Amino acid sequence: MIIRRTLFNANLADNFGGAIAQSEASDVTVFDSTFSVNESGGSGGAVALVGSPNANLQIYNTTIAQNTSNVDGGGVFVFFNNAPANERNTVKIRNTMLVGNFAPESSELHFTGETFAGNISLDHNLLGSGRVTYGSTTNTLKFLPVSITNSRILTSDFEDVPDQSSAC
Amino acid sequence: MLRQQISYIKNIGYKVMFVNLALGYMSAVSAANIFVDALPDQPGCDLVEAIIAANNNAAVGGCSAGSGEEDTIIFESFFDEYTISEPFSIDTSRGANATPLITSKIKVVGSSAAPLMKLTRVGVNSRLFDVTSDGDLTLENLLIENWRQFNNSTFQLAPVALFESRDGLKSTIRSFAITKRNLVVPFMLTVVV
Repeated sequence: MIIRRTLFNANLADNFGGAIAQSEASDVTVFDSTFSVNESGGSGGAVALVGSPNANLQIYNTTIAQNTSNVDGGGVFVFFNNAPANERNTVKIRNTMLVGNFAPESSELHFTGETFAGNISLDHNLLGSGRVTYGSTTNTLKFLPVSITNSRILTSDFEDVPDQSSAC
Repeated sequence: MLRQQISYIKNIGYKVMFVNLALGYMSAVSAANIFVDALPDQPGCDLVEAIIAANNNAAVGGCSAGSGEEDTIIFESFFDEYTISEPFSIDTSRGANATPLITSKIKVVGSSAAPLMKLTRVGVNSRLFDVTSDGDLTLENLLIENWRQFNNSTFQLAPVALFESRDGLKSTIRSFAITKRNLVVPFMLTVVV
């Protein structure tokens, strides 16, 4: 699936993905789009990748803001399963704003089962206060398999703080 | 000399015929543009019929036939907003879908005077697009708003969802995400925690 120059606004799902859900081996690539005010009763306020293996999510030049999950991953939720190494899910997010989203756990971006990730690459993004968490660990940067370069980490009041990518 | 000329003309004729046949074949298999010019249940080509035409490579209603290649569904430029009020299908597992399952390669393009053409819902809660493993969907220049999927199916996935070809979710989907919501898990979901 390719999504280009599209706005997802005020959509709702009770399980996964307020706007988009990947529930099988598939490629979803998003360019130049906006996800706003979408809501999920489960994981992934805007986007949820819940299929495995061989599911790949790429997001470029996109704004993901003010979406809500009632569980985890207010902006984006990604699930990784224990698949053979060459079949594991991958995620690439670049030049994207993930800010002002809400969830009880991981308000912006949530990975589950990340030790089974094929590849995670987050580059040149603006990440909001909830940023990325592992499993049930909230607001802790532990990006063992994750590459984060030149991403700005924002505080909850959107005040810039020093880039924390070196903590990786 | 005359025989040579006849042979030459025949040869040219065969070549022209071959080129015509080749061009005809190419046009038959090349991607098709299907123009949506009507709201649902109105005379003309509506979005539901356009998807069926693209899936089945056949003319449906007022829509031209799709092809075996990626078909492009284009909204006529006079649409700033396209509203769907009735679901195309309701399934206890997949939920209500406003449009047919996407089972082939389809591109949907908003082509309005406005920056983005709005695809919106009124009435029954439903999902906009449901893509099977046989399908592939590209969306461009659209505003997708107010689609809702809840309380009408076992799996209430997103307004734009990629399901597997059979009903339900794969066993690899984590179960605890569902049990967190205290929902009934009807069958085989592998615990991954």
